[in-house]
Amino acid sequence: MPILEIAKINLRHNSVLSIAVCAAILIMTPILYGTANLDAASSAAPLEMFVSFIGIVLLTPVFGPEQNQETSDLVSSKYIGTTTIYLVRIVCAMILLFAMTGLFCIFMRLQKCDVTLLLFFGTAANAVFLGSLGMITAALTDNTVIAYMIPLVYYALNYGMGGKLGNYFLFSMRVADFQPKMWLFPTGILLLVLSLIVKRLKQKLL
Amino acid sequence: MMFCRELKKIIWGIPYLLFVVVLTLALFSQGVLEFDTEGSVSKPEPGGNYGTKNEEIPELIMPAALQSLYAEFQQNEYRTYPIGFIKTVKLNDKEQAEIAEIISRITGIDTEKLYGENENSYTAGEFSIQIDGDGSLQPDGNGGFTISMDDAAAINSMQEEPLDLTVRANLSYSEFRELMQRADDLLGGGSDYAADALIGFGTVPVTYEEALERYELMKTRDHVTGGYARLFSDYAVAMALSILPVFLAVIMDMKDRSCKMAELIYTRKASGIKIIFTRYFALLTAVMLPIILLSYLSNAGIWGMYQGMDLDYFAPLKYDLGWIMPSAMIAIALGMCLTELTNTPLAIAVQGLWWFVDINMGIKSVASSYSLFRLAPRHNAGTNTYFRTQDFIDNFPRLITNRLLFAGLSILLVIVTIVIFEANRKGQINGNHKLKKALANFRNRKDQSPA
Repeated sequence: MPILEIAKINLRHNSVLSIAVCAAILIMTPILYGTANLDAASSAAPLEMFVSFIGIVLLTPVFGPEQNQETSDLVSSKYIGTTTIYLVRIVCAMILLFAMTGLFCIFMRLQKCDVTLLLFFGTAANAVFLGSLGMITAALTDNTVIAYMIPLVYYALNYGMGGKLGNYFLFSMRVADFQPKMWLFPTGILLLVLSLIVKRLKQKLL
Repeated sequence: MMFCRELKKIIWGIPYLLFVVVLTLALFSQGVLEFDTEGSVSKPEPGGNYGTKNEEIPELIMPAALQSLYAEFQQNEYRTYPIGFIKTVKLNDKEQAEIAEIISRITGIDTEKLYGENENSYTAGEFSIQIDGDGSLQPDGNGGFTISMDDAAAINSMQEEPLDLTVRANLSYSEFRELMQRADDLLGGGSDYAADALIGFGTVPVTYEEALERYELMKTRDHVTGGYARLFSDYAVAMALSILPVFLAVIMDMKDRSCKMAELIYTRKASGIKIIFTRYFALLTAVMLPIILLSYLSNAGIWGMYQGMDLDYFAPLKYDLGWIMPSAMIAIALGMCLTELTNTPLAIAVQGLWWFVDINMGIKSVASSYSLFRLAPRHNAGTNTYFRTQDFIDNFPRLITNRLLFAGLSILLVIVTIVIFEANRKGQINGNHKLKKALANFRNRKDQSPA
């Protein structure tokens, strides 16, 4: 199965650092915030503010390897198209994203926190949105470093602007408002698809 | 010449354009690019409301803090702010007993009594009824229930007086602070009971004389514009300049490698000192140019409101260089150093985490904070508090120490970058070669067949 082989190689060569950074974020969260005996509103804070970050770490570098022109030429010359490679990477990143978020939710449940399925999906929605912001930036600029900047700045804007961001406010679950998640997740998926289209168009034009 | 070329290379690029756009957006979102012209500072009139202030008055703080702790103890719901947002802490039985012990030591009331009062309490909104001792719950036959109590128990309950929750007369303020700090430790920190946060319970109104004094101080020491420039700097450092410059530094350094220019630069005659310092100052100049421009744009907007006053037109520049620049310096230096060492965008993760922890851990001290290792010092005071000039004057030496430390640290990091650059030039480190080699070894080991 070439798809599985691609996923395996991608995990081994491109995702090790990302997974390590995600693990560091998840390990640091209980140290910085304390995740024991929390009610639903308090549980939302570490999930929205810390765990969401893993979306940026996992999804933003999806187009990273092909930024090297030699790698890009090599990948383009293969039978399996570049878009398929990107899709495999995205699926891998999404599986990792949901698995890590899920594991952290289970960990919080074990620590007697009121973590519900809604909180889990809300966190994943945040992560997907932030990650897809990075992906679309990477697709447009062909620069992974800039791609990290945009979601980070958007995250910072949530501190300053708060509820003014309306349905795109990242920290809404703290006040038991799940409405924004219904916007963040579909928008994230849309941006993700758009970034793939942008990449494909760029490939065709160049 | 080399400086101009570097500066041109930085400025004529999408990353820099994005940096400027994001910087402007971040400052605009905080409302410091265009100050509210209707909220200008005027001389206070007698008989007005001048707001409140916090003072360390034990007679005020001790009863207020005690009442608050007791109320939270009764609910077993304690509000803390470990990283900016509220966190409601629930304690286990052992920890609750320790809180009861603390209240008991403050009031002299027996812990049993504290618990007794706690158990008899009824909380509106929780819809729970606790029945002690001889009470009984009987169905009334109509789908409802009748609560009946033994007469003696009912009388006892009615006669039970509420606790007289006052601080023991012989308890000193320092002892009180220690006990409250213990409570804060039990809650995991970040509560209002931390020794340095207790002042929050000492709220007193500002008198006319004090308001007048603040106004005069703002006029004579800040020359009005200084207060506005300080507020601009507070937001600029916290929201943008402690993090954004690292992106430019990493992009510029990685660009050399992706364009296969690094090896070419290594072969040049120019020394590592010259190359790295030139790039460093070019980056710093590029970062500071828009901030100086924006700070003047923000400050000039209020000049018309204070015509006839002795304004300090250099205030924005002074704050840009003295307050904002050291934060930008450290972000650039860290970005250059880690990228030179690892050839990865690791610096973004490191600086991002530092910035994240700094702005969140210190959220309770947003009003003012000048501690030694604060990446983004805070002094969040606007016109309604006359920019709290006295507070700033009192803490000025601490701010200077902090800013000098960061400037010094960044120069040290640049020197380390030069050493790494020279080692790379000689092929001794070769970017993230060692990291790659370690990963490759790990993969090879996994790929080896058992045979």
